[in-house]
Amino acid sequence: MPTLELKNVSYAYEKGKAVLQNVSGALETGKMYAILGPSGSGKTTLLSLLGGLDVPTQGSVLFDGEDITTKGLEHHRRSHISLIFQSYNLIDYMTPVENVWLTAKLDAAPILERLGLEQDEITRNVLKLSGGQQQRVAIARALASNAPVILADEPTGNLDADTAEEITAILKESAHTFGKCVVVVTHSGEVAKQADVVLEIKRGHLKEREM
Amino acid sequence: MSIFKRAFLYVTRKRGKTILLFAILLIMATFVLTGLSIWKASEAAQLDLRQSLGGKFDVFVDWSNSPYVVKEPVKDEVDEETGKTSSSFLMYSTVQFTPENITAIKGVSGVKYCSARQDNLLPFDGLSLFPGTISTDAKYQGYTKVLGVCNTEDDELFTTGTLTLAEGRHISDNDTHVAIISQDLAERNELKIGDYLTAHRYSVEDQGFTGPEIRVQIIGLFTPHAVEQFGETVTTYDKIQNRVFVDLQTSKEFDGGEINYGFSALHVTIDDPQDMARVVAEVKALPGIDWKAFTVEVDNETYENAAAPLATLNELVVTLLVVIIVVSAIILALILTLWTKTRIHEIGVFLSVGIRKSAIIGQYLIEVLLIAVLAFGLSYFTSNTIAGQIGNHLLEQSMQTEPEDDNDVVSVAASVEIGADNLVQKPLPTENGIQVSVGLDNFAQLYLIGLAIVIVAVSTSSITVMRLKPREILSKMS
Repeated sequence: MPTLELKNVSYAYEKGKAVLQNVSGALETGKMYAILGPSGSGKTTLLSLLGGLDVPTQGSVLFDGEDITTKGLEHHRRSHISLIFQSYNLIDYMTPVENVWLTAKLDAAPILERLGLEQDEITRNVLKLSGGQQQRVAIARALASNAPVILADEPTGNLDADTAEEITAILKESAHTFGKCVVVVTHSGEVAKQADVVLEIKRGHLKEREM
Repeated sequence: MSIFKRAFLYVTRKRGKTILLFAILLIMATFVLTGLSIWKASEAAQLDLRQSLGGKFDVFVDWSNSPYVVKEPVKDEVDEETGKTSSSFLMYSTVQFTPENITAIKGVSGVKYCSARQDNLLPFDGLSLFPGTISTDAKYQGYTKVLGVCNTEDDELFTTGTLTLAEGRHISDNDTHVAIISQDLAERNELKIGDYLTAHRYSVEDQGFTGPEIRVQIIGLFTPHAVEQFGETVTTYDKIQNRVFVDLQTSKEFDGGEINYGFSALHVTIDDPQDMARVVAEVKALPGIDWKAFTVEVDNETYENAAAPLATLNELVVTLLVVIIVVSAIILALILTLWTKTRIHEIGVFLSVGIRKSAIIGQYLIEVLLIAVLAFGLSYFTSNTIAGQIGNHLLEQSMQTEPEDDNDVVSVAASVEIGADNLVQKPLPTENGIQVSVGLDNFAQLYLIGLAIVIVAVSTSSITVMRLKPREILSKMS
C-alpha cells in the first residue's frame, strides 16, 4: 500500500493559471524519488501539496489511504512529514541539538554524530556551521522526527559538488536504511541519478521517467 | 521542545533584542506604576481631606418666607441723652427646633455633630469679667454671653478644639441648672467646680434681668486654644474667657418668656462632604420638622476649594495613564511587528514541522512576558524614586491652575468664622504635598495592565504574518 498518494490533483493560482492538472501517483516507503522539471513547472507546488503546506484546487492527497485534511494539515505536517529546504531553514538562536529537538522523537546527538557532526559542533550555534553541516542538521531533524516521509526541496542547491554528493547519499540511506519515503525536488541530474524513481513534471502532468 | 523552552532560548540568545525590549518595558512600567501610585495617593489625599474638613450645613428659620414668623412691637424706649423715643420690634418664629429634632438629625447616617445654641447677654451676680478692648453701651457693662445648649460636647467650639474641657464634665442632654465657664474666669473669681453662679430671669416689664433668682452649678471648666491678639477689638461680653455655657432649660429660664422654647438655628457637621446632598435630603425627610419654617444653607466651599487641586491632579493622572497605556501598546506593537517580520523564516520552519500558529504566538507572548516580569519588578524601584517628586510637581501645577480665591484654603487652612469666635485652623492634608508610595495593589494593577498591553501588542503584531498560509510564508522565506 502506498504511503503517499495523489488522486486527480489539480492546482491553480488565484489568477487562474493552472500549475498541476489531474495529477495522480503513488509514493512508497523505502524508496527515494526525484522530481525533475523546468523552473515554474510546479515541482515545489507538488511538494507543498504532499507536505500539507497547501491544499489542491481539485483532487486529494492521501496518507496511508486517508485524506490528509481529515485530521488536519498541521497533524499531517507534525506526524507524517519532514521537510528539508535548500536554505537549510534552521532556527538561528538554537544549537544543532536544539534544532533537532524541535521535532525530535528520537535522541538527537547520535543521529547528528552519525551524520558526521563532531561533539563540539552539535552544541555550537548553527550559524557557525558550514552549509553542508547545516544541511546535515536539517536532515538529522527530519530523521529524528521519525516521520515516514521526507520531502526535500533542492537540498543540494547551495552546496558544492562533494558535499552535495554526501547529502544525496545520506538521503538515499534514509530511504534504504531507515525505511523512509524520500521525495527530492531537484534540478540536479546527479541527484536524480541516485533516486530509485525519477518523476518529471511537464505542462502540469507528472510522468515517470525511464532510467 | 516545549513552548517555554523555545521562548527561553530566544530571550537568552537574542540578547540585544531582549535588552531593548527590557528597557522599553521598564520605561513603560515605571510610568504606569508612577501614574497608578500618584492616582492612589491623590485618592487617599482626597479621602483624608474629606474626613479632615468634613462638611457643614446650617438649618435656620427662614425669616423672609416662613409663615410662622411673628413680628411684635415692644415697649418704646426713650433715649436719655436725646430724649427721643424709638420703637422696636420683637421678631420670632413660633416653630423652632427642639432637642428631639437635634437627636433625630444626629441619627441620620453620615452626620457627625449637630449642635444648636440660644444666645443671651446677661449679668451674673458678683461675677468679675475680663474687660474687653472696646467700650460697650453702659447698659451692657457686666453682661456676658451665655450660650444655652443641649450638650457642649457637640458644640462646634469644642469639636474644633477651639475650646477644651480642662476640668469637670460636659453639659449633657438631661442636665438642668448647670454651667461651664473658663478656667481663667473661675480663677479670677475664685470659683471651682461645684460652686454656683447666680443670675436673674428677664423681666419684660423692667426690660432687664431683674426677675427671680436662678442658680446654676459649675460642672466644668474650659480653656481656650487662644485668646484674642494684642490690638484685636473685642467687647467684654464677647471675650472668650467670659463665655458661659448653660443647659437649654436654664437658658429658657433666663429668657423669661415662652417665645424661645427651642432653637432658631442648627449647625450640622457631616463626615464626608461628598455625601452632602444625600445627608441634607435625609434630614429634610425627617418627620417632626416643619420645613415651611426653615431653610438650609450648605457650606461646602471650604472642601470644594481645598479638593479642587486634588481633583485636577486626579484628572491629570488618569488622562496621563490612559495616554501612557495607549502609547505603550502602540510602541510595543510597532516594535514587535517589525521583529515579527524579521522572524518570518522562523515562523516558516515552525509551521513546516507542524507547530500550530497559536503555539507560535504563544511563544512570542511568553518571550515578552518573561522580559516583562523582570522589567515590571525593577520598575518598583524606579517608580518609588520618581513617583513622589512627580506627584508633588503635578499637585503644584494643579494648584497653580486653580482660580485664585479670597479664601486661600490650601495655603492657609480651613477657617470658619461664627460670630466673634475664630475656630481653630486645622492644617490641610495637602499642605505638605501628597505622600506617594508604590503599594502591592499598584503592583498587581501594573501586572494586569502590562499583561493586557503585551497581549494586545503581541496579537496585533502577529496578525499580518499569521494570516498567511504556510506555503506563502515559505515562499517569502525563499
